[in-house]
Amino acid sequence: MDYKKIIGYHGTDAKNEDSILKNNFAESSGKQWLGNGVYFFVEEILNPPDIDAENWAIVTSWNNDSKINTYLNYIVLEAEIELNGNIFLDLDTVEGLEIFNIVRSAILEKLKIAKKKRLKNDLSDSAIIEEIKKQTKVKIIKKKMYVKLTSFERKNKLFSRIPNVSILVVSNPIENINKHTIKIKNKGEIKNDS
Amino acid sequence: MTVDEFKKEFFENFNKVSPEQLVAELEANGVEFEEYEEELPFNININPLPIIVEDVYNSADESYDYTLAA
Repeated sequence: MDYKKIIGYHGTDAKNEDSILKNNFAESSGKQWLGNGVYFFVEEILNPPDIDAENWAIVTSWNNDSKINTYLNYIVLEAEIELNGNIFLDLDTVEGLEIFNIVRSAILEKLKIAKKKRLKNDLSDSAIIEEIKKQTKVKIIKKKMYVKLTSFERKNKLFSRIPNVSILVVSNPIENINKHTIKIKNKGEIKNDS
Repeated sequence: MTVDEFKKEFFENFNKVSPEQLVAELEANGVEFEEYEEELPFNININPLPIIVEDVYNSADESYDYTLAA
């Protein structure tokens, strides 16, 4: 499928509303699914993507260590993201997967030469994506994946290779997301039994 | 973007990255490495696990599969 632009939905703590509307989204970093960036739900699989974003905002409020919701009000924001030129990599296409696997193989080949070190755990998809972004103009990645969107799934630590949502991750949001397209889609309150 | 266009752009830059630089970049992105010990060559003097055949031949059980002892 060819995309020119796509509507994405981002669920978060309602206290971030003013900052996002004023300054644009902030990039998440660290151990992420598809590399650093702003994560959006796009396209419907089981539920519309704004509902996926809402469910995400609700389940991620829960802190399993402290056993409390870290925020009680959430917000779902909508943004229009342009997918122009060579900045977009669609990992739901055969070509996108070929590209990813070419890079993975190239990294592994080079790691064979770096004989003094070897992988302790795994070469994460996220690290491969960061290398793709570092060496090319690619800044936006799309991939269908399985995300635990209910507290029941999270408590039971479900795992699946069959996707239930479609994710778009955007690096450098100031450049790649027009902040004038950001608007509030939904707001809500988190009940303690959510 | 075609695969060929991507490869051209990616490898133009990636080929300049040394293996050591790549390790450092991956480490910065959360990939963990450990020191690599050179593996010893295969030691042909390692004693193989003994194949215990005695019980097979002493067995009074006629249904015992003797081919196991081969």
